[in-house]
Formats: sequence, C-alpha cells, structure tokens
Amino acid sequence: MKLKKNKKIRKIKNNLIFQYYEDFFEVLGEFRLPLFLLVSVLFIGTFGYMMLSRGDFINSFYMTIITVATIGFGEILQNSDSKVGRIFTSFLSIGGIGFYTTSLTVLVRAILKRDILYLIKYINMLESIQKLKNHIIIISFNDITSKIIDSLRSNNIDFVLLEERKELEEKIIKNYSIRYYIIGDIFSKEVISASNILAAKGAVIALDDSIKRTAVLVSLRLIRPNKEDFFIYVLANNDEEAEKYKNLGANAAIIPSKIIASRLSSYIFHQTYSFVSELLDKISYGEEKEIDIIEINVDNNSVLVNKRIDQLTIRKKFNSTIIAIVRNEDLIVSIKPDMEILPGDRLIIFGKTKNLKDIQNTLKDNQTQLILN
Amino acid sequence: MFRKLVSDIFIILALTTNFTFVFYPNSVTVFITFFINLFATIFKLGETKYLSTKILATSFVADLHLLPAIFLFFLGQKDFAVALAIGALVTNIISVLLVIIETIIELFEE
Repeated sequence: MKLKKNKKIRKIKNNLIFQYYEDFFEVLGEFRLPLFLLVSVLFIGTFGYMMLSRGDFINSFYMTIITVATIGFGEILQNSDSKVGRIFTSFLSIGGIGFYTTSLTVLVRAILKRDILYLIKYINMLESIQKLKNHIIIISFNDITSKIIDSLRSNNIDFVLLEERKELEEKIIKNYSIRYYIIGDIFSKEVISASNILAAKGAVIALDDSIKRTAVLVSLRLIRPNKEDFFIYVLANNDEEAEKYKNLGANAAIIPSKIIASRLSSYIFHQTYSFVSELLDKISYGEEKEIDIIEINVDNNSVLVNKRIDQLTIRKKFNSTIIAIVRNEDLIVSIKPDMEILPGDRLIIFGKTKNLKDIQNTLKDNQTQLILN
Repeated sequence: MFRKLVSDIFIILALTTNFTFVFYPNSVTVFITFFINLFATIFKLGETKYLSTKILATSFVADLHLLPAIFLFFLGQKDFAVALAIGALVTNIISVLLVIIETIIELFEE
C-alpha cells in the first residue's frame, strides 16, 4: 500500500528532484531505531531515578548518563545507594549500556555515511540546474563530448551532462569537475525535464548506439518542437543515418569520420599553402579568436544599397576587407572599387574580430556617416 | 499502518501532555511532556508523504522549546519553563492540524 502511494506522488510531481527528496527522507528513517532506543534508555533511567529521589530530574538524568555510558562516578543520587536503587542501577546497566553504545555507534555511522552528504549535494545540484537559462544539454560522456565541454567552458556557456552509465560518475566528478550532470535513464521524462530542457538553448546527442540516439532525438524534439528555438546536433555513422536524423528533427547530423577525412585531405591537397587551410579551419571551427570572416546581408532598407564599394569606410576606418560578394547564389571574388551594392547581396568581410564587430554594430544602428565616406 | 497509528498517537499525545503541563506545571508533567515530544519526532523520521517534512519540522521546533524548558523548570525558573512550553504548545497544535490535513488529502486521493 505504501509503495502504491509513493508512485502516486511521483505521478503528480513528475520530477527527479522529488525522487531524490524521497530517498533522502528514507535515509533519515535509518535514524529512527537507534534514536528510539537511545531516548528510551534515557527515559527509563531518568524516570526510575526520579522515583527514587522524589523528582530530582537533573541529577537523575546525570546518574543515568554516567551509568549507561560506563563512566560510573558513583551513587551520587539520593537513595540510589539503597537496595532498591542498586537493583535498578544493575538492571539499567545490563540493558542500557548495550543499547546506548550500539545506538550511538549506528547513529554516528549513519551520519558519516557518504549517502546523506551525497544526496544533499545532488539535490542542490538538481535545484540549481532548474535555475539555468540558455544552457546546452550534452547527452553521454565520451571523447567527443569532453572536447565540446572544454570549449563550452572556455566560452563560459553553462551545460548539463546527461549520462546513463553510473560507473562514469566518479570519473565525471573527479577528472572533469563537471558542475551539472544527471545520472539516470536518459529516455525518461523525469531525467529530461530535470535537465531543464524548457529553458535550454540546444542539445548535442553523442551516444554511441544509433538506436538510442534516435530515441533521445525524438523525445527531445517532442518536448521542444521548434528547430529555431532549440537546436539539436546529432552524431551519425553515415549519410543515410544523417538524413534520417534530419528528417526526425535534428538541425544537423555530423558524421565524425567524414569531417576528419575532409580535414586531413585538405592538408594533403593544400600542402604548399597549408597556412591558409589551417587558418580557414581555425576560423570555421571557432578556434581562431583574433581574425574572423563574417557575412553581412544587405536588405532593401540597408544604408549600403546602391552604394559603390569605394564609398564605404570598411577598409579605411575598420581596417577590414570585402573579399567577396554573394549575388544570386554566385560568388563574385573580383571586387572592384566602382562596383555597386544591390539589395539581396551578401558581403563577405575579412578582418580582425574586433573591427568586424564594430562594423556589425554600426550597421545595426544604421549610422550612415560612419560607414560611408 | 501500525507505524502510522503509533506516530499519530504520539503526535496527539505530545499535544495533550503539553497542554497538561501548561495548566498544571509540575515535575512529572514536564518530564512526560518532554519525552513524549521527543518520541513523536523520532516516529516521524523517514516518512515521505505530502506534509511529513512540515510535521517533522514543527515537532522538532517543539523539542527545541521543551529542552530548555525542562532544565529551567528543575533549576527553579518555573515561569520561564511554562512560557517556553506555551511556544511548544502552539507548534504542537500546528502539527496536529497538519496531520488532519494530510489525512484529508489521502482520503481524496483514494
């Protein structure tokens, strides 16, 4: 009957934290028996001595403690040296000493047991996950996700790691000191909602097993159906699988072997000018922080419309270069000073990250005098 | 079921003995009140129902009132002890109310 009730509560509060609360109070229940025995011994001893001494509570309490704790300072209480008193003390010692020492041992052991401290820590962590916003959910811990974690950390982005292998917990805590993680059944609604998915920005699914990947992808997409609000990136083994994941709602499916192969072959083919391919690689993977390439969309209302390239201050003031223009899906790479910018163009600008940011901000605020000569 | 019965008995006993002490303060009533309250708290440990944490908290507060009360009583400060016991009485009333609310919630569930 009790089990049934607990299940009911779980149904109402479909919540992992609540389950851990329950566990915590169950662990507290271990204190009940030793505390009961301890208080009973004190109650019987004190009550007996109070009867003997006609209500001297403080000395009776003291006498009980020195008897059951085997301190034995003597018969300090009035009438405790009488025959009745000695009979009572004998029986109190026989029963009391055993109970007293055993329950104290059990109590201290239960307090020092890792369980309680662990549960308190874990519950605190789950509660702080509920306060996160725009965090990334990373599913499963492996070589790839550990690298993702490193780069998220260096960019100060919060993340929650979901992992189903309990044995990895110690490794995760000790070696990687991950702040937010949940160990449990990654397909369950409890675990997914405990990761605060409703406030998250996106998820990376890096499970090894393709069936599990599909299952997790579908369950995440069911909770957050909008691709633009919530991105999901999945690892795939081959093109066919990648296509399937995209149809199921992944923003992109990444095939690790394909990426490694193309990066390696780019080194092979561009051997003589490896500097360029390395730089482009670094820029596209976000490893390069000083130099960047950006795209600027020119819409109808933009100040850039119908302006010539030599009218712009991008080179003079912002020390950056327009290296190409994308027009009607064509890439124009020979940029001449008298070229006119048309609505719908996409300017590709190369320069220092700081300067590029300034350009973007200037355009955002429509500060015509800054961008034009 | 038996555990529930015992813990309910002790919660109500804690209230009634506390009442007795406040109206008739003597060495036996203060002693009984203190230990009954301790037992009531111990029996509440480990329960995971709706209001268990609240009942545990109120009953723990009653203990914290009665612990100094019993020592003060036997040190001669009877008025102070009774005042503390009135505080414990308030929390005991709250915990009995919580037990009643919990029972009603369970009834609705079934």
